[in-house]
Amino acid sequence: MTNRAAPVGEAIMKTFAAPSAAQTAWPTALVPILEEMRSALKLPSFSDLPGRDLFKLPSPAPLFGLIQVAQEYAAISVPIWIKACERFLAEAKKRQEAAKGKAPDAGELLDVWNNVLDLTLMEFNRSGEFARAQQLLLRAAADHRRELGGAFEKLSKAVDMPTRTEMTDVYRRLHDLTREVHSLRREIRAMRHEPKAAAPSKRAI
Amino acid sequence: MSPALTSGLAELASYSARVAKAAALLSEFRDEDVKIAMTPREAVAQFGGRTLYRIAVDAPKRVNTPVLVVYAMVGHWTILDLQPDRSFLKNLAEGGCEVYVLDWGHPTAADQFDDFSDLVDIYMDGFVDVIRERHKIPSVNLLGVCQGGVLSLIYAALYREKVRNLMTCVTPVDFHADKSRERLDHGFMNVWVRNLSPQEVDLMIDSFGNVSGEVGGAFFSMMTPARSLAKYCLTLVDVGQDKEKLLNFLRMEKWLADRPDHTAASARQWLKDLYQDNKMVAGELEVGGRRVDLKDVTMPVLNLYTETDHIIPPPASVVLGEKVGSKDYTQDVVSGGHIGVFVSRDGGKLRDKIVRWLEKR
Repeated sequence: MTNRAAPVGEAIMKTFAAPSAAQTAWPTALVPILEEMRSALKLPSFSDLPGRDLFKLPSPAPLFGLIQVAQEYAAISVPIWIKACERFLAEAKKRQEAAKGKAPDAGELLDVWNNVLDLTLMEFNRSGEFARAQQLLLRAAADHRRELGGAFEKLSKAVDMPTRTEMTDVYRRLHDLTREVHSLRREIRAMRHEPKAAAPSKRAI
Repeated sequence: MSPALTSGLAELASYSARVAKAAALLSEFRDEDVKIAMTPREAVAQFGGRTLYRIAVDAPKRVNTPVLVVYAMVGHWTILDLQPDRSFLKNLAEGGCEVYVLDWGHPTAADQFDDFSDLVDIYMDGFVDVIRERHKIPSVNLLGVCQGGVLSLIYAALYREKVRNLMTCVTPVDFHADKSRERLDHGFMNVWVRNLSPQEVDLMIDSFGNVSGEVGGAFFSMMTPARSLAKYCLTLVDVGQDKEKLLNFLRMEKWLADRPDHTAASARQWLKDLYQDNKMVAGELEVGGRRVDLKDVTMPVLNLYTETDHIIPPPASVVLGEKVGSKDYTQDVVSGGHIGVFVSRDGGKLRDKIVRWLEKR
């Protein structure tokens, strides 16, 4: 394996030897491939050469994942709407028969529709299908959020703005400090309420 | 023309006229005209984004020990003071209590690490100490609503010497009790969270941080999906025929639209430790490294719940009596829904139940 890979490694190393040329000449698309090769061949990494991360655009995959979830949701919800319509028609017919053929007025029908739709959707919202759709949505939305977050993280760095990671770190430190201040305040309050001990003897400075 | 068609067209014309009237009335109002939380109050203390308010209503005192009201983080405390004739806090103050209310504020990303320990040990305990020092008393009366009731139970178990009497209102205690009496229109949140794995809850919190108020609002809408939408084409047209009714509707809408985000760390505990693992009733909940044992809730307890609560199923609340260590436990049912109980014009009844119970203790 090492012998077969050696020529590739040599070629890459030669290119690495001229970093400025490499930065301008490498097509962006090749960077991930070369990076993978470097990783596979366990070649050393260089701090001042462009890495794959620099060229990586946000992947559209999570976005398509979200679209897929929306389509799946639509697919499982169509029968629900058909069921609601069937129930509505049955209930309207029942009421018409009870009123000896007189059709319910629009207001009554609207009430029937709202009740039927609520009932049908509530049943659906508690079903296994809905739960699965929610899980898929959650995962797809989380993937999308992370992908987008990663892109904005790079952008923030590029324009010298604090990144989300940095802000989160600041918030964590702030939180820890708040806890510490609270704990110290509590100790001070407890000391104030303690019976005064004998005055300490003066220490020589 | 057939009679059915004539009748249908007449109904349509009538509905159109009502829509026109409602639209005309609605156009008279701007957001600043819709005021909520109007009862005078003073900010007594502030820690971070949390504030302690004193309800500044002077009335003869029937209860000597002040009452600290703790509302949920899901939703804003202003529902307890929606409008002057539907204000739980004003009622309570006029009923003879010195009333304080804890405002959790609107958490931002800076609050994301606040967990139950921060809420209880820093904010609640800090505010309780402020009240104790102001009134030179060893303990306060604590009244927790919904999630605020859970936090109050935790606080009472961990700081029992600082709680004279504990009142919980529409408070979930056993998060799996809905299974014993399943109803389509009750406990959707319980079912939804149990359908997720703990890893999925972690994924949600890790990816999104604080749980946004809009997400919470969407869950409540999903409980009665059609009616949540119908309110803008039916209810709004109905109430839009009368200025006062329309204002009432708009006040509630204003409160609903003001949904604070839920801090990420406490949401994780809320969803995993309580909704999924039901640790509080099992005596396994840990807050700040201490186990919360409801048997340590030894002060008098008043537990109020409603039979028509679609968010907290009644069986989830009524179990409290078996779990607390108190020998003075009172349970009472109040009328109204989860929110309606606080905004009913009949609020005097709820006030009287609380004040009478407190007067004796």
